[in-house]
Amino acid sequence: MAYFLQQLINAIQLGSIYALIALGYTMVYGVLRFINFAHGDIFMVGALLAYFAAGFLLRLASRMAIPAVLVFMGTMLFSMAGTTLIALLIEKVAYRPLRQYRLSVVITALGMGVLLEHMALVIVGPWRLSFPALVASRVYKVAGVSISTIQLLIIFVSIVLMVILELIVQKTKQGMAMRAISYDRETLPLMGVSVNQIVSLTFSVSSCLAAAGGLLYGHAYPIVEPYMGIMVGWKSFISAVVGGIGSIRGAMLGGFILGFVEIGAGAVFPSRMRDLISFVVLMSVLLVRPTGIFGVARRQKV
Amino acid sequence: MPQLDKLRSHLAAVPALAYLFGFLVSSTIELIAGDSLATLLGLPGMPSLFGITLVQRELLMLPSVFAYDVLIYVLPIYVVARLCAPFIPKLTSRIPERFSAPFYVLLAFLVVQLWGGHHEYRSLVLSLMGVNIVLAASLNLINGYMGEFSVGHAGFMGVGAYVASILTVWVFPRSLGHLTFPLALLAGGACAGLAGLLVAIPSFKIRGDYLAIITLAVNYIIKNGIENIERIGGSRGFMGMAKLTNIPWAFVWSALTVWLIRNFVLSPRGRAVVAIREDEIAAETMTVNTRYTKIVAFCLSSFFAGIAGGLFAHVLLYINPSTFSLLKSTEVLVMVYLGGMASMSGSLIGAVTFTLLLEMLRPLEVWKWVLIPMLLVAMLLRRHAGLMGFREFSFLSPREEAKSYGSASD
Repeated sequence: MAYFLQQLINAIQLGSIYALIALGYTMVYGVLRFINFAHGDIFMVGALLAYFAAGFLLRLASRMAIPAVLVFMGTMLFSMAGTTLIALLIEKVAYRPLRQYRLSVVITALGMGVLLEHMALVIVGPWRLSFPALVASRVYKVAGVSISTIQLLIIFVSIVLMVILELIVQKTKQGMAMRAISYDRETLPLMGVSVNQIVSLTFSVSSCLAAAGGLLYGHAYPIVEPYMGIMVGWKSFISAVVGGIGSIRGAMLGGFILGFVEIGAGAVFPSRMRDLISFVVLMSVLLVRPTGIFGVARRQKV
Repeated sequence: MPQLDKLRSHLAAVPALAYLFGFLVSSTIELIAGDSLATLLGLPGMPSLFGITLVQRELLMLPSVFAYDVLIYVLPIYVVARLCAPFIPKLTSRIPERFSAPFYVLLAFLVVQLWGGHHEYRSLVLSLMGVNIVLAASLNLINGYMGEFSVGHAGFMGVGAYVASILTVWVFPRSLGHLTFPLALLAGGACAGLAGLLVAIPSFKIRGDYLAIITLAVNYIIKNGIENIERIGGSRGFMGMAKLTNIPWAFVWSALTVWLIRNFVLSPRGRAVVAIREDEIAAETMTVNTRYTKIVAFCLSSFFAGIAGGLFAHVLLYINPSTFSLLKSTEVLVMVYLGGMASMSGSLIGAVTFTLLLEMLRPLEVWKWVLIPMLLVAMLLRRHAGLMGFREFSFLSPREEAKSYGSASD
């Protein structure tokens, strides 16, 4: 039982990071109907920026006695701002001019992903950087289950971010425009809403979430390197699709499902079969529900 | 740029066949005089790929490389092409229609063999180019003609590579080498084609982005599956193949692939594939058997991917499950979209350009992969469907269409 609970917590930790990144895929998809394959690398950029900001702020903090919470917040804000800037630049240069050609944008997105990876490789080199601990790691034992402060932090921060996102999407005017654009793209401009503004907003929000994901990932698995975005990116993409791409709640659920499947498969089967099992499970989910769990099949007219 | 346009029309006035003759002559000249000219110009040896890698390492070599390229390539090709041009129409009218395609292909083969046959590095590059042409052409069937987005092509390539290698290493006697090589490739292709069913059957119900996920998952399942079979080396990889892929094999298979897929796309079943891209439901109501068509298209595409895998394994002589990961699939995608969607000419151009770029920019190391995506994006911004998207060279487009719509060449 304790073992089961332990795995459950690990799964929630992994799942919440997947969910944060999956949200980015799903939001951009909802607005533009296009898979932003560079998103995994945006996540990597977020993690790298967080790494640099954390190094700087920790040095500053050791001199001026800044509380750890502020250091953490500062790192997160810096990495969010930098990542958003890069994502907006990519959107402007590589996606916007090609917006009406769906397949070409997918390829420029793949290209941008490769570009980001190798720019990072040029800048930081092929080393595996170890992420500095911003929060003192303490392990609590509750009924035989050990929970570290880092796990608590990850779960807490991701839940807060998801609640904020939910509020933005459901309660603000911009959020309403985002929902409207995914509902009917042709009519929205007629209502006086600037599509480009909404697209930029979507990219900003999704890259902020990716940056937070990068920071949290850096805490949980304290290695940062230029290729870290590939695997995590694809897996989050899968969680977005399993949840039903375009659906925000679906992405959250999909992230947690993937976390559970991965940890579960790793606990039951030999660990080198982990990817195999999780992909087989995901394929079967799609075979049963071809448009994901929350996805709605679009009626096609002929 | 008017000058550039002028140059282009000046060069386009000469038929392609004349350039082939020109290249033939220039390759012969290089074979005879290349080495001595290189020593004369102070180059360390015959420049392997037009000296572009050499210039990146030592900029001072630029004048010598330039002189070499002009003397060996530009000048002979241009002069011979100009001289031949008046005789080309007479020559083509002499050749019976049914032999004209084999004639062109044979000539192209001679050029490739003469240019690269004597040079080890060039033949390596040309073999890889052949593999890439097969890959790009077969993926174009799915991503270009059928309009589905497959991101797992490398998985099928992996199946073909492993099956073919196992056959040539463990089953077929080594002495028979080239005799049994096609059998091994075909077996690899057949297994890959069967693996294609893993995507084809879900594709009945699952479409678009969700199908992309299936192809991705299949790629991972194949890769991870191979990693878990200890008998064939697991994640350590598999080796012991003889170097069976050479320029002739690579050329034959890439020509065969382009020819077969081009003919398939023009056949009734191939038209059905295009109809599925345009509108699947409309196609279904027009009595297209979409399920059968999808099975045929996916299996054919993965069959050729398997062939490419077999060829690839016998170029590098070592394969490893992580060779066939998503990175390889992405490379093939780049080739397809660089060259052009729904176009065999596009696949040819894409694969050739991509292979050459990859080899020529080798001295740039990490920066290579910064430059290539930039080039790709810049190109796509100008031509959103790729260089030859939805168009064909005249020698690949069918005759009736060339007559009624004018030549599709560019």
